[in-house]
Amino acid sequence: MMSKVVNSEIVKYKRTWLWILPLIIPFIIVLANGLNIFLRYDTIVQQAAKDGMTMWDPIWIFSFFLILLAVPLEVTLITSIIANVEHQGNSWKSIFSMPVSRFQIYVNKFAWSTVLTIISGFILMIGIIILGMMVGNDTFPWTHILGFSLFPFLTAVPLIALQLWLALTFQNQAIPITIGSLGILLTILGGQLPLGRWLPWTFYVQVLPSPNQESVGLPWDIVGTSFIIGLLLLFFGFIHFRKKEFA
Amino acid sequence: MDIIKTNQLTRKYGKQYAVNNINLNVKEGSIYGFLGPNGAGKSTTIRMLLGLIKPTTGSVQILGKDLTKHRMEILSQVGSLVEAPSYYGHLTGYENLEAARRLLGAPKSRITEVLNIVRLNKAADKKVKNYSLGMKQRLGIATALLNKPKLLILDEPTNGLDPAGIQEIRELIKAMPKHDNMTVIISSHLLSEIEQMADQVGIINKGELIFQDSIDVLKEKSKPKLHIGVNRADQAFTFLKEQGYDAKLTDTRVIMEDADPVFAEKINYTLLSEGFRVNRLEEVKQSLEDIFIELTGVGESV
Repeated sequence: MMSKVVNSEIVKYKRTWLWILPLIIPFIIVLANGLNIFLRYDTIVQQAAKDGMTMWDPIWIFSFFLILLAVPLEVTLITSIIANVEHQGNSWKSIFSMPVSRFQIYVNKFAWSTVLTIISGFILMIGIIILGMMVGNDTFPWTHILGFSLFPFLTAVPLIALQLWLALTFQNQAIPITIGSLGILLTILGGQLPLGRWLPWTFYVQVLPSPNQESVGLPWDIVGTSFIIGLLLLFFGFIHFRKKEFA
Repeated sequence: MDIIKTNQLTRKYGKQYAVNNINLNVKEGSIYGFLGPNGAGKSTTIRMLLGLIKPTTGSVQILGKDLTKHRMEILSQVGSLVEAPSYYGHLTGYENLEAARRLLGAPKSRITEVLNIVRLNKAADKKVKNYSLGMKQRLGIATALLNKPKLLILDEPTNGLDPAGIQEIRELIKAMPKHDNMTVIISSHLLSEIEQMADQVGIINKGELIFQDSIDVLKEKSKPKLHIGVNRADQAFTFLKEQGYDAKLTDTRVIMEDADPVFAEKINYTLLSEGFRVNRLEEVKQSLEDIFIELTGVGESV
């Protein structure tokens, strides 16, 4: 039955931005990095020589804030598109008049959002590797490469659960998009708050390696925690969605 | 057998009863017209039939099974269209049906079939956001037919359509039970519309089912009546009652159920012999519309 729902969803997402977003966001990050190095090439090379850095480091320094913006932005937009496909044409009542459960629909929309977000992380990883090679790196610091590409997108799961719930709950998508944008503030400030490291907006900050330091291994513990929090939020979101009446 | 059977179905919003103790009985193979003025509780009832909203009290049985216990099984044999059309505007008509078809697990060939039934085959590759309201509504009916339902539930399918669109949908619905032994329940606030399609009628007003029977019983009520203009109408009325006639009294007239000429002659003679002076003997036909208004009390203020 779940496969029926998945197949049905593919049709609905035709001609939406959903297929372009996971491509365009990593593309912009890589392009911006490329431009940064290209335009300031001499300065960067001198600086790197002086501080004993590789040509990876300018990429990490520049990616840091781009990723902090890109993850919440992408999650907000993807979940909003996935929910709005239904809001826009009043299709909830029609779907739930068919032999399909709310659980299947909810989980399926969550799965689509998560898979697309993680694919985006993979694409960014490939883009970063290609860029790194183009600017002359011949070593591959994998913990940094993963930490600045795949891992932040992997740890967006709690944010996906939260934004999806908002996008499904409110017919007017201005609300989840506004909250998603305000969330970027929490991304930047959340670490300072008490219990801040448990917030959906801070996991993808926590997994970012610090640009100038040797890495200390991949932060699987944070990934694990984020998955658990994500599944909890998914569960609570569904409990609410299950009771919602579609007029 | 009753395809739909509700038992004391009730839905409250706050303290307001949107639907109050309704017992619907929809017979297999019939077209059931569910009538009522706007806001009477038609849509609320229909949403409860589909499990979209939950009854406050009471229960729904469809195809002999309890809706809360066998929802999936029931819905796989039901097609529905609930009020304003549901559609994916950025997709073509065909793609809209494909999305629903995949969910229902119907064969691919069924899409062409339903497109033919609702005559949308030529517009199948146009985006639905460019469809007229009538076309969107027909697409909704096509979607409802995808799984070859035993029961088709249509909530105000002609609402907002122009006369040509209404005509088209009406023809479509009338032809349905003949094809596949389908039962259709269709709601509307227009009696004239239901009258031309339905064989069973339920009338709901202020959340209560005030009439439920065959359309013939309703039509019986619209038999012509005899209006008698007579001096001393109240005395004439009392006299006729004493003679054992069934009569009603309005301000100036006595109204009798039978407008047959022989009967009129007889009444006239009886009254004249008693010294009353009859000045009018009128046959007054009552339209179904009048009865509807009489039953629902809507239009009293007009």
